[in-house]
Amino acid sequence: MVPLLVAVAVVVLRRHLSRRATWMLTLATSAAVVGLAATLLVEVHGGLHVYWFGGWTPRHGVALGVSFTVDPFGVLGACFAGLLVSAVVLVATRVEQFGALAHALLLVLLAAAVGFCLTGDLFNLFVFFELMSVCTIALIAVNTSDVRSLRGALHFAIVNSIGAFFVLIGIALLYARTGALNLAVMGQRLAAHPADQLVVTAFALIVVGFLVKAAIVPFHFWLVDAATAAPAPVAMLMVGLLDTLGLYAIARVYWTVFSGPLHAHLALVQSVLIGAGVATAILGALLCLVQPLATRRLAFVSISHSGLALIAIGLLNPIGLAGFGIYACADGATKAALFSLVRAPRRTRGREPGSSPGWHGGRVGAALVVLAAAGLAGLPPGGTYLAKGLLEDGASGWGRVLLGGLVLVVSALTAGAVLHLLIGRRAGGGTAPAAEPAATGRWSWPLLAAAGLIGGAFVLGVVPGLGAHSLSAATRFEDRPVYAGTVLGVPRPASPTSREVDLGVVPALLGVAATAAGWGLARYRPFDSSRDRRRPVGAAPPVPLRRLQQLHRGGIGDSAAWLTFGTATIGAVLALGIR
Amino acid sequence: MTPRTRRLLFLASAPVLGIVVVAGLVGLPRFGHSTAQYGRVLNAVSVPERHITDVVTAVNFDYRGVDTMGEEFIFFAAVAGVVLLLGTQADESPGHVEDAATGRWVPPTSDAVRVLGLALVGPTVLFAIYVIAHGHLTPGGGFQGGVVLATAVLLVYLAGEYQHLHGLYPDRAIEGLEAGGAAAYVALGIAGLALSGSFLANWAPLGKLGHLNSAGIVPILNVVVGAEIAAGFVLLLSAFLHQTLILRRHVRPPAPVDPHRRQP
Repeated sequence: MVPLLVAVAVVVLRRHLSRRATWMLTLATSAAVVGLAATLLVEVHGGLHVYWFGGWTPRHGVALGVSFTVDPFGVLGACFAGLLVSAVVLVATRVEQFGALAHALLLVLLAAAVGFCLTGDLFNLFVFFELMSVCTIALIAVNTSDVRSLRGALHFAIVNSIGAFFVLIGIALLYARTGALNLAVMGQRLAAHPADQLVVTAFALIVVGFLVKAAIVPFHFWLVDAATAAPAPVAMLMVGLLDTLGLYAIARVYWTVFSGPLHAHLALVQSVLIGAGVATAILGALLCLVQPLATRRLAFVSISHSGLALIAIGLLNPIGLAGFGIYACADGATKAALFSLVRAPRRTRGREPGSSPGWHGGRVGAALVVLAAAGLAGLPPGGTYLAKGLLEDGASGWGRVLLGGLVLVVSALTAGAVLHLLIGRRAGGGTAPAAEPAATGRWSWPLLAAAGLIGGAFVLGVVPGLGAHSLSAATRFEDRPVYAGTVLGVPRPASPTSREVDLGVVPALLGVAATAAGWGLARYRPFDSSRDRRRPVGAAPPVPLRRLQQLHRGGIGDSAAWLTFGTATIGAVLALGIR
Repeated sequence: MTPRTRRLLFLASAPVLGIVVVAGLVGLPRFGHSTAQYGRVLNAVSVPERHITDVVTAVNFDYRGVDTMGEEFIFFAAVAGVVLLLGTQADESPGHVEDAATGRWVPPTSDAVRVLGLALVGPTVLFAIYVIAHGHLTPGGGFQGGVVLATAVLLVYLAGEYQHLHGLYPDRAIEGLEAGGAAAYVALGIAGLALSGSFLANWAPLGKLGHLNSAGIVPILNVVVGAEIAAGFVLLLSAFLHQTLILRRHVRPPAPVDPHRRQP
């Protein structure tokens, strides 16, 4: 696992290279990370590997050093990060400003993401979290001559720094209580006592810090700004990788540290997480319909789907978590691919809007957008279909019916919004995509990368036994005593878990229905604001939606106010509920 | 959202957040009643095992050395980001920048500042080397010493002119030093992997307690970090100065200078 960091750090040095050599080298490194992570995945299969840096194994139950605690989920995250960064490097060949320094930052970001996934230490998690943020800030603003991108970077920097402070305060509280920073040791110490206010505050602050990164309502404003302003490769990272990792961290921290004391209040924690997820999913799905700007629309699609992923985690059971693992990979890859396909609006005035298609790559690109929309909707046999099936399987009773309905509606709305990008442009008087000048190249590198991501997301759905594997990995992920025992060198036998995943026919039907509904929605575009561009944006949608949309025109101050509000709400609900 | 509603939203939720945080802080152990086993174990273990007298440095560079590697790369990424963002853009080119506010009186650098600045350069460098080299014995280390070392370069700028500063060091070498410092940390970690079996494990002789050459690889790591931090700060300084003093944008034509106005 260490060679990952090594490979990256070595390449960071090589700054005086030609452009071509730089991106080839970057690509080779990220591909190497994928290879190593895949090897590691095979190696840890069915178990938990603990690696103590500097050889500082724990003594008398005190963890002296920092450990990487490697389980299949973490390695999957690392593998996904490597794949996504590889795709980003390919897409970045199109972006002029992406020089050697930007590639170096990209590699540092990858190293941080890998460390974030593998680490078994709370403070180490925070260090890698910060490292990712620092790299992202600079990458968002890489096109410095554009004021919007500087603004987006500033927004990201401020909001995410506040989130990081929350996490740090939470860590400090927990350290004062437990005298440890290792996840396993902290969890063991906390489990000895019932939850009190200190634990609750720490939990709320840490969760909020990571929810900010995951762009969950009401902490999502930065993503709208930053993803709209950032160059396509960086936006891919934000919607594909950062939000997934934020959610992953919540699951990791809950199950290793807090699941002991908070287990008595399971329903409350569930309802807080699922509530935030539902709000995010619905808000994102509604607002993505009324965004005329393609990148902004995709940002809301992405927010909406992060909400679904949070619901999967918030179920707080192995089935939901297994669904999250698959969903995060398949959906993250698809969202990232969409960002690479959609063309940012040119700022040249005087050209008739819609005179060039809104996506790259001509017909092939258009076909890929359609495929991606189907993937977002959960059309079988896509990876998202499998994941959504698991997600619905994780709930029971009425919750299951409600959740199924929510997933159906949200999937249909977001897929419709994406498909509408194609149809709306074509019907809006633009030239047919066939008229795209051939100079852009039919199968350029970026297009190949997008095809790979979308194809990969579909392949995930047909890998035999993936559901069952994921389920057993998730069960182990949530087994705190076994985790702590392995880390501290007192291994306990894991309870055997072998369960066949049988989704039945309902999720498949739902997936087909969502895709069909999305298609219909795109054809008939009930809330079309792009039909007539002279009309002020937001004139078409009904009043409540317009109000919501207006909320998103504010600046960083609004974002900070909402951040305060969200943190206060989550903290107060948890505190009052547990008292 | 209007500023008024924003303020209301903030003012309504901030006290609630405050109460939640304070209620959590109440649960902290009372002052002087730390329950932290970690500190106790380390205080007992680090001096005999590592031959190191500064336990904080032992935690930073030995027990939790990989965290420090992450911190070092945070600094590295921040410097790279600043250099990236302040670098020459498409619409900028080097040239002499006209003073935008013509007619104001800029005091020349006084003799006192020149003399004191130049006189302090030597002691500052010496002090920085001391702080870096004694990181494992007394409070200090690579991060602190590196910043002090970079201050020496800043003093040269204060006492002289930008041109003097620029002649002082080759940009390439500083860049190399910065990247080299970051890479060397990782390299030392790999050396630990190769020689002692795990990443960042100690492989150097521990030496005699309290001597300059003790505590294994900790002083080497300190030197490496010190080099990176000092070089990084110099890079930051020169990137900012370069931006304000050398580059100019093409967007706006230089303001016409009134020849009749009194020049300073």
